[in-house]
Amino acid sequence: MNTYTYPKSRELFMRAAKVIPGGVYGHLGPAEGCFMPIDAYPLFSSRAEGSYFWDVDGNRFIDYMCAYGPNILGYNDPDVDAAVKAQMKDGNCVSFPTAKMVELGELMVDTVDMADWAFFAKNGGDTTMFAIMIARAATGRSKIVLTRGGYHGVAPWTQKAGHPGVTAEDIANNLYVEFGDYEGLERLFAENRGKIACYMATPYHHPVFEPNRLPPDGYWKKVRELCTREGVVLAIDDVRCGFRLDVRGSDAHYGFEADIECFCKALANGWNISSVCGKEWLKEAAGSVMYTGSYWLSAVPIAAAIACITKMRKIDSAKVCTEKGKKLTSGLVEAGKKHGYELRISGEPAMWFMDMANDPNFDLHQAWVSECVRRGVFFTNHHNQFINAALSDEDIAFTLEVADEAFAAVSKDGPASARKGR
Amino acid sequence: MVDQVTLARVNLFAVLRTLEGLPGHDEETRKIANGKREVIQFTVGGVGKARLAVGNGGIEFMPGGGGATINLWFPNAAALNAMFAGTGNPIPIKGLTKIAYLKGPFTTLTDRLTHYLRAKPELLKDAAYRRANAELSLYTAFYALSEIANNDPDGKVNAARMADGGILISTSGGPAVSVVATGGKLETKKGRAPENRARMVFASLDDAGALIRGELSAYMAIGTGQVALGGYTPIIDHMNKILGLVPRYLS
Ligand SMILES: Cc1ncc(COP(=O)(O)O)c(C=O)c1O
Repeated sequence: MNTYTYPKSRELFMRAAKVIPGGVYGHLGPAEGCFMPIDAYPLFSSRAEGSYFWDVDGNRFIDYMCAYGPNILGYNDPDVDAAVKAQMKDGNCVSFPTAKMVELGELMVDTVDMADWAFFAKNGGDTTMFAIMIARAATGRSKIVLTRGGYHGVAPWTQKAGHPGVTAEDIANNLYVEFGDYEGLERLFAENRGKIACYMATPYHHPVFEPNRLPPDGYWKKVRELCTREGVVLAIDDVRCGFRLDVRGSDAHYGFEADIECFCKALANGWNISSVCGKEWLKEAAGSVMYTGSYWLSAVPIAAAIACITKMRKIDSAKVCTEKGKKLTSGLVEAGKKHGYELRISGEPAMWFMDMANDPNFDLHQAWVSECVRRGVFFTNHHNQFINAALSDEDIAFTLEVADEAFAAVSKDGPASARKGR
Repeated sequence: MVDQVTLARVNLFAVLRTLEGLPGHDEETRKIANGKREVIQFTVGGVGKARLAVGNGGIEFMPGGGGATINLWFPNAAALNAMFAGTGNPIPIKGLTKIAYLKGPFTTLTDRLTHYLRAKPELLKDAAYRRANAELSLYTAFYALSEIANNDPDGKVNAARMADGGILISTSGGPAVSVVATGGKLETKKGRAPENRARMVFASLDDAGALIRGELSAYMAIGTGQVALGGYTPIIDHMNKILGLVPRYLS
């Protein structure tokens, strides 16, 4: 199997670095994206289709990051894109919303189990911020409880003390608890009785760098009861998991009902729209918060969301992705075993996390991932991966072949740290 | 915000300590280092003590107090910082006759260090100067990093997040330092430490110099491969947040 090189990506990066901070910033960039070693990775894509993207050097990749979640049906899904094209003819960003907004509101309420209403914005971070504001407006309380290692966007309150641009005041109302620690949460609520507006968490724990954790048995049921008892709004950040585990919402998937649920990534197959859904008792509060943006009610992404939800329901994309995820991950584990490595899979199969046993400094893992990338399978090092519904059995077979060869390459050369002799 | 105690520790345990490497680059310094041995002790109220031994062919920095031929006393951090900023003088409490040494050879040493650390564009055209600047700045910056991690409020919260273990900072074919975290406290050691779990490797000493001088963006350098990261990434992430605070104290 040939391994890839990326001269055009490098060239473009040098141009980018002159006019854009960091060249490519954020999670799509080499620093946050943990591209290690950098020479194994492309830096720019030129086109995408189904489960693939092609980089600017013409190399094809099976994309297991799915744009970090938005790609749920396959890139350029024909049904979603047809709805987009039709809407573009009629207009997009206008001084009034269209009937499509109402249609999408109705569809969300019909689709998401907990939803009595739906609100639309652009990014995931818009929705988590709004959820907190609604909870504060409804309860008249200031404090919020978050889980350690949870990700809710980049607004100052979601970041950490001591990070660039973040002041102590930005995070002064935050309290933190371990995900899954019910007793810890109960204690925090008791110590701050009457002061906590909201408990915000992802449906299961999917941090970077460490094995992902499903909720312990009975956790959400107890948390639901506790929040109701203490008058705390239970807000589920379903930005990453939403629709991938269950089209009815990930709270429904785990058998409970959130007060507020935040959606983004898979909502419109990559078109820019996010949504907050809520219970009836929070509808007034949601309406009272001044919250809007230039593009939030633009019609094209709304049309895309309608088409995407309709198709996700029709093909049961969550089930499809879960089944494909199980098949792929069990094959990856087998490939590792064959070469004497224990690849560990955690989290949900449709968006699994992987790392290796006996690899405390990640050297083996980074070496193996880089060998996969060089052969056309785009995994990322320390973030969960994603499955999309267009992934075919042939794609899975090809991935397993690459995984096997990559393990063989690692066995031969040893991990990066040893190989480079540094 | 610059914390005065942190700044004093940076001046004492990072900047002054960097004098150790100066004889390797500078003829004038070598002459002084080959002269009669003097041990200068710095005692700074609320900060700590350190000694600098100059002579017998080298310069040695020793954290903590002990025997000395010249004693310099500073009532507090601000007084030491004033001396480093060139706006204050130390109070010698022993060896008043040694004032001539302080005004002469010792001032020459600090001036020579400043010459190499405060790079000017025209000086950087010279390869030997560039090498000296990069190497000495690398040591100063990473010694400073540990002081900031252990003392500055923002440094401390970031250091507290670091798992135990070390990060190797190396330059291909050039100097290396290790930053080792233990229980949320950092220590910078010269060379490779056995505790290292992650690495930050500069493609060249020139790249390291450019990055520390602020001419090369760290994020860009990761993309171009001028800095290669690897291993247990979370500790590098946290360390980089502290590295971002270093210019506050060294500019
Ligand atoms: C769980 C979770 N919440 C919030 C966000 C923020 O979403 P966005 O980047 O669209 O603002 C993300 C993005 O990755 C996420 O995964």
